[in-house]
Amino acid sequence: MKRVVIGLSFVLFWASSAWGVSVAELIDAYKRGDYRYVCIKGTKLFGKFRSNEDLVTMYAFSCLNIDYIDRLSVPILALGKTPESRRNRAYLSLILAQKYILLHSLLDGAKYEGLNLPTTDYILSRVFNLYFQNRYKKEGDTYVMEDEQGTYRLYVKEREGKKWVFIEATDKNGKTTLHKYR
Amino acid sequence: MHEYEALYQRYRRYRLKKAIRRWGAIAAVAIVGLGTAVYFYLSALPKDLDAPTTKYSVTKSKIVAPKSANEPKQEEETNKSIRKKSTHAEVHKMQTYVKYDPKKNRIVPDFGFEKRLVPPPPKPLRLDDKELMRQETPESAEAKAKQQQNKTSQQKAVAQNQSASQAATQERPKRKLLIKAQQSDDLKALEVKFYADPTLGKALVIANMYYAKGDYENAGKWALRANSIDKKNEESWLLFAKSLAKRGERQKAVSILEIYAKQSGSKAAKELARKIRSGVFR
Repeated sequence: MKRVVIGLSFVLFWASSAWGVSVAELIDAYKRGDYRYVCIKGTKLFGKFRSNEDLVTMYAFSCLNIDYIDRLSVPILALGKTPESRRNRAYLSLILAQKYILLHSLLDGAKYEGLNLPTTDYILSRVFNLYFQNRYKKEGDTYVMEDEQGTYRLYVKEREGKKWVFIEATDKNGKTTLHKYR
Repeated sequence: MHEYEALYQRYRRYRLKKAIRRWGAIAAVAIVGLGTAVYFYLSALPKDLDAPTTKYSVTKSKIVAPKSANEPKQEEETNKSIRKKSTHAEVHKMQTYVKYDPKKNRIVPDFGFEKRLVPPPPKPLRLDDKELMRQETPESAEAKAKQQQNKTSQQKAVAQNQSASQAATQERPKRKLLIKAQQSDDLKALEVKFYADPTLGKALVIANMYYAKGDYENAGKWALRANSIDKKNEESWLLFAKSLAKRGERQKAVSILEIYAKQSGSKAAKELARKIRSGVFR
């Protein structure tokens, strides 16, 4: 009986520790650079820190860092009390809009002319500008672009019945990073 | 007979020709009328669809402007201002469509929030709760352990004396082999985790472990800690009452359970109070 109680208490403890990720842990993870942890666990804890704009911004930028752009829509709605948060809200919503316009154009062949959107330093924004300014070379189904920060290869691939847009970014030092969006 | 039929046919042809002529004239008049109407409608439409407000302002200014001796001058001035506005709008249009550079309209994110990232303060505790939550220092723990050792050694000495006296009369009873799991390290680790981040779940788990171990004093203490985090938690009340009852303070346990049952209407608390009162729970 004792062993059962001890076992049960351990199970309870581990279960509670798994669910009980605190906001302090999220902050620690963000400072460590573990953006994936912050974004995934932050989704569960969002209700706890919704009223704190600094934490909401931290969550939003963590999701942006790991290319989870769809998740930005929730923090965008929660931001807007201060000039800084309004600027970040504009920044995040611009990236969200650019993603969907680019995806619509690439996947459905939609043509947009005379786009007057601002830009950001985010990779999707850079590729967005190059694509809609027709500053690319087409190699098969891949769009190859270049700017002062590096070269980009933009292409669409189908994985498990879903179409994904891939951006292979190579910086001036030759470091390549892969970003995927759907 | 045949003449009559021929005459009738001629009459029909004549009627048809007459009707065609009449309806043809009507249709021609209608087409011409519609054509002119469409022409005037289209010519009346504003040519610059992008700036309908200027058109509206022109008509409005014409209607509203009071008639006076300086009417032609005023009209000229208003016309000039309208022309100026329209040219300004055209220039603006040219600037936005032709000289647009997205790099100039760059949004730079503000990372000022990183400096302000401070963990939220823990739940405020009452004064007595603060005292309760204070982490036990190793010195106090050692002192307690020494006290317990003294108690146990005294009890052992008493027991030895008794057993020695009994041994003289009776045979020595067979001893049972009791295997106990080493939990002290786990409990300490749990306690450290609790002090780092006090939560109800952790306090309850520790209280349950102490209770299972038979350490009812600590079980009661941890149940009280759990209760200070969440006053409405039923398990903490029950565990505290059980610990009290196990320590012999049955009346106190019953009164606590009755108070809680009165406040919350907990059936479990009523049942436990009944069991303790009747002696079913020992």
